[in-house]
Amino acid sequence: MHAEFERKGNGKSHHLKLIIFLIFLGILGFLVVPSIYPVKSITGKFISPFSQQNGTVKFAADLTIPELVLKGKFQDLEFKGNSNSYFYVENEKLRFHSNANYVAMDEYNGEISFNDKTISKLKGKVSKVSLNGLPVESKTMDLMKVSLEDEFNYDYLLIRNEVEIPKLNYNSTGTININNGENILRFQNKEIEIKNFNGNVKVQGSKLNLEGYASTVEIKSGFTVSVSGS
Amino acid sequence: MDKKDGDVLRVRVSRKVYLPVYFMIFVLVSTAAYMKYSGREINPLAFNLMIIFSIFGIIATELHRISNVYEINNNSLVHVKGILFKTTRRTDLLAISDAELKQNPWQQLLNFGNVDAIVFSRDSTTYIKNIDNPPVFLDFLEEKINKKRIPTGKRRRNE
Repeated sequence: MHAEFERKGNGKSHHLKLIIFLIFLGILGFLVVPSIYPVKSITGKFISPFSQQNGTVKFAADLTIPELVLKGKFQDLEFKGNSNSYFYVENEKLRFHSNANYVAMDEYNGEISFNDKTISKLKGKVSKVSLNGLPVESKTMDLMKVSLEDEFNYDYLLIRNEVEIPKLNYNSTGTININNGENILRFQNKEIEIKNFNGNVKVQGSKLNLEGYASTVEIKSGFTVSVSGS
Repeated sequence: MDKKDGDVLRVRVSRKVYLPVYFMIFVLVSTAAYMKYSGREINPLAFNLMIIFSIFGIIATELHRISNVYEINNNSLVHVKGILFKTTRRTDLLAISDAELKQNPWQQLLNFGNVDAIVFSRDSTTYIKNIDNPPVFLDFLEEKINKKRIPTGKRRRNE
């Protein structure tokens, strides 16, 4: 009887080994395939770059510029301005012109910090980068590390697809346009709060332009005006 | 393989049996590390599954390993199975008629294998599976069987 039990155990053991191997293959495939075929590269041309989720409002805002730290993956990141320092791309150290520079990056994954005058930090990886129209190419097919040596005085900044800001709360002056003009809110030096923003960010001419969707937009003064997705 | 006072040999399942599991964990971790190094995005769910698989693999193999203990002492061949719920099977050395050593090419390469301690009726064979150095185990078993079969006094006369 004991011998029979042992033989039956061997059959179960084979099934178990097969299941473990299939789980391993599944996890390996799940790790590798999305990085080779990211969903956005397949569908990005067919769907809107950022999409409205349930419970959000579409809005566009022109505001004063706070101190912002943005982290994430952005399809495009461009900025113009001047600096006396360097721009690092992998092992290359590129010197900025003293008066006008234009940096354009594709598929940026990293961090950018800026205020109303300077980009204080830029550190991440990109698939493509160009400085003043000249592309800087990677010697391998891998992503390139980029960073700023020092602060960069900018007058134009564009970050597109998709900037996500969980919460933005500060005193501002400006205009907020809700649902393509359904409501337009103008305010001066009021505390605003925007939650779960998802969209594009542009800074030009001392204005911060946010365009996208948010779950809640609040303007607080003696009373609070609040717009949120249904 | 443990030897205690030369009278008792205690063995567990060899870790070499689990090399395929260790290799799978190594492949997963190396793949994730390479993807991180090359700046590629790693799916968070896949990463978590990889961590769970690795931890579970290590724990499960260790538990499986410690759940089977084989011991040869002066009187019997003992197989203790289980961790919380233990089953102990003692086979008197005098009841063992034969012992078979089985190794496939992979096991020969890594020097581990199976020993079948066959009681006169094959229905009660004790299967000692996937142990390190099975020839040493087999020799020790035969030595103990011979010692028990031939009492010390008679052995001296034969010597």
